Amino acid sequence: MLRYLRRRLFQSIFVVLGVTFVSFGVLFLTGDPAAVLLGDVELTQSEMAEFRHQMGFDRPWYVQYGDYIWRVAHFDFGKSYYHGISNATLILDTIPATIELAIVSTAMTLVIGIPIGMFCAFRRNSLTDRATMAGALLAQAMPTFWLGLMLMLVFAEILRWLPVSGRGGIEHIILPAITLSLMSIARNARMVRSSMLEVLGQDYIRTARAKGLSERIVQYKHALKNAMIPVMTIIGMDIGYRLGGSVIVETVFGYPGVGRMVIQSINNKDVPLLQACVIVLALLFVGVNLLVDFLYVYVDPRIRHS
Amino acid sequence: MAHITKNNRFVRELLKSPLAIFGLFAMVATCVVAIAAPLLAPLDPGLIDVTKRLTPPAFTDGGSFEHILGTDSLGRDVLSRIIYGSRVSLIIGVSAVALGGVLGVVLGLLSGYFGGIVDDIIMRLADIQMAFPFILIAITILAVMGPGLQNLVIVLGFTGWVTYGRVVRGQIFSLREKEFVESAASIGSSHARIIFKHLLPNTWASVIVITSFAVAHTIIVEASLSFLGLGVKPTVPTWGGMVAEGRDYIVNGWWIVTFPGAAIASAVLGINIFGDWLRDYFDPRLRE
Repeated sequence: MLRYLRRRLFQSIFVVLGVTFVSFGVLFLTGDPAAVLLGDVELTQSEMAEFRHQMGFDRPWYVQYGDYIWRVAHFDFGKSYYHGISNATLILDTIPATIELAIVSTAMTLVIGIPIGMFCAFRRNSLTDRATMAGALLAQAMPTFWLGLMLMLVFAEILRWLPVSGRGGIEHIILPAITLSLMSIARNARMVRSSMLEVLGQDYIRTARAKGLSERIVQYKHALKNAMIPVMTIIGMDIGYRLGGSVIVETVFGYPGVGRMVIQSINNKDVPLLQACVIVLALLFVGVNLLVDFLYVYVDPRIRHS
Repeated sequence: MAHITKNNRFVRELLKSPLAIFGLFAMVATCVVAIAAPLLAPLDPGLIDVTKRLTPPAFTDGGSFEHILGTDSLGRDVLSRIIYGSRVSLIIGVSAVALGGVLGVVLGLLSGYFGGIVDDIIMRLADIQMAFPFILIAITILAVMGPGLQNLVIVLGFTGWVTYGRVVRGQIFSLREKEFVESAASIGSSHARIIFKHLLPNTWASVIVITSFAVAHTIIVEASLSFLGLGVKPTVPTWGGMVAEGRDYIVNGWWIVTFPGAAIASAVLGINIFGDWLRDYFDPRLRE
């Protein structure tokens, strides 16, 4: 178990280094970091040289990278060009909204997706099962941004049951959370169903039934527990999808989180803020994935005892 | 001879599944539309006619058969733009997956065949990449490098190798121990001959299955990036770009947003359904 956790922790360090390297490296993609940062601003030769020196671009890249990591490690994410205040402040203002959305949609995925999958497995090949699985296939084919706009059109514009955009009470989070979670609800339902069907065909389930245990105990105590193991692995992946998806969903619903700020910073040519948003979201992602890995140890005894 | 019998089984099995036929049909239809776009599109997709702006679809009040799916805010024909939009989706979907597929198969082969340190390095790389919030990285790189077809294909291609690499590696790993590989090695076959003649052909089934899902996934990611303004240049019609342009007219022009999105969903649904069927056809054990 310790070996497993140590490997995971070690791997996370590489991921963090990789993420910082990418978000640092984007400045150098076009060859001239000063030009990337300045965007459309025109400067004379000497002003340009002065700017390069001021930003430290005249130093070797590894010194700059080291410096960058040092600053990130101290939660110094620089200053936004567009807003003129520190990026850390901007992110602290917006990150609660993003985390809230991620938690609500993760909860929806688990609370809706798992029972649907179980229900379909128990009533395999019934009309309900077939219809639900067809719906799940369709849900997996719809692009998130389009689903969001369609839900907005129907529930906010036509029926006027829910607000079109913004953040506030619980009614503001319903549509964004459904949009963000529908694809993973569908995926989870399909996963749970097939995993459950596989488990239900195992010998120990027959043994449990033969012992005269009630169907309820067999289903929930013996089958579900084992069927959840493969499902756990995709929960971590889901969270990554969700942080990426938050960029799209927050943009569609004008929801004031870090995801929307990513797109705003691109439109404002505010590269320092973009870098800061990306690194914070990525660190959040790595942190949550690590947490899922630790949880995994408790769910799967095979890892615990290895 | 063996080839023909194999094809017969393929057709026989396919005819048994109406759902798979639907999937294949949707897939083929998307390809035909993309290839024959100039013949099928009723109008020039870039033709602006402000006098006809926001014309509703033909089957609703105020619509006309001149614009079957209506027009957008500049009076351009929505149907023609959807037809041309299929081209970008497919070109990027197929070329990015081809790039990722070749990369993944090669790395998977090396990893599975040679094992040891090569395997360790490649698989840790795969683990690390899987733990990366990919779409965020794609957004950042495209925002700085500038959008465009080539950049999109590179970014999407380099992130797509992991699934191929892992699956091919796993298969090679178990095949390597089989007797036919041992006997090939014992008669002096080179590494290259063993890999390409004996091992690679055994991985095709899974490579084809992965490819179908990868193309569908790439189409969605490309559309999402186009929606965010990070796709190909705005003058080229794309499904994601059309939805983005229609956003501000969602109330007065619901059709501008609705139809391109439906096109994405039906293309992806078709590919996914056919991919599911292919997976079962090749090997029921490949189910996740």
